[in-house]
Amino acid sequence: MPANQENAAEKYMSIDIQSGEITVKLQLRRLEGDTKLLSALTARPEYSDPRSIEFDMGDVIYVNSLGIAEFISVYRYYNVEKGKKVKIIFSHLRPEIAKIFHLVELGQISDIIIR
Amino acid sequence: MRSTEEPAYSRVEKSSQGSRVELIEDMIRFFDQQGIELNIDRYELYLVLDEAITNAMEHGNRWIADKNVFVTIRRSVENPEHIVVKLKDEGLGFNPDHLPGQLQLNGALSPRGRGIYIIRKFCDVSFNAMGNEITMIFTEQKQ
Repeated sequence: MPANQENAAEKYMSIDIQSGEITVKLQLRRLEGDTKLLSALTARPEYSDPRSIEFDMGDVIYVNSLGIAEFISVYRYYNVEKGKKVKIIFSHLRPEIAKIFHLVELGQISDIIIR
Repeated sequence: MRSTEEPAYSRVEKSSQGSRVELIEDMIRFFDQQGIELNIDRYELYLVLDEAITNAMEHGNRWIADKNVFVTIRRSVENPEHIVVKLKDEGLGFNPDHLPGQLQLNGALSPRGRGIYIIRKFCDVSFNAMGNEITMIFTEQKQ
């Protein structure tokens, strides 16, 4: 990915990895499909084989279906395309967003944890 | 808002990300000004309107700025508890019969169809035959 595109993605989030566990702290209020989550995670080789990816949603007040699709893309990339077993965790979710995540059945995927 | 065939709210909006948010907020403001409390909360109403407007601007009008979205809101004559919201775009439409009723098996991983699925969870939905006009019927909260 070109450096300018990588920077564009990383301005929306900070990414940390420790012992194979990635934490993505989202630093924007609205997730509407233009965050480039997957691009940010595929930009660096150290993010290529994690055990889990936790999205810290503490700053996020709104997610629409395009935002949800970004998380699905991340899940599919690791667990379907690359055939790995990567847990996807959502933390500090507002109740109204958690309700929508459950509504679209994200919570029914065993590797996606909403807390 | 009285029950009438004439819309109490009518607006035409160009297709752009900025006008999308402006239109959602204007519609929410109209509900607030009219004192209309629906049987869904404000977050859910915002989300449903966003999904419908985004569909119209993205899939219908392809984000072509000159193409409009036409919105009306009225109270149903037949059932005054029902608030009828119509959105029409200037796209080619689609065959509404091809829409899935809900997310398909393995649907949580489906890359598409989540927007209309969300809309259907919160209101009654129908389309015109051409597929370029959605009608959403919301129920007013009883006091």
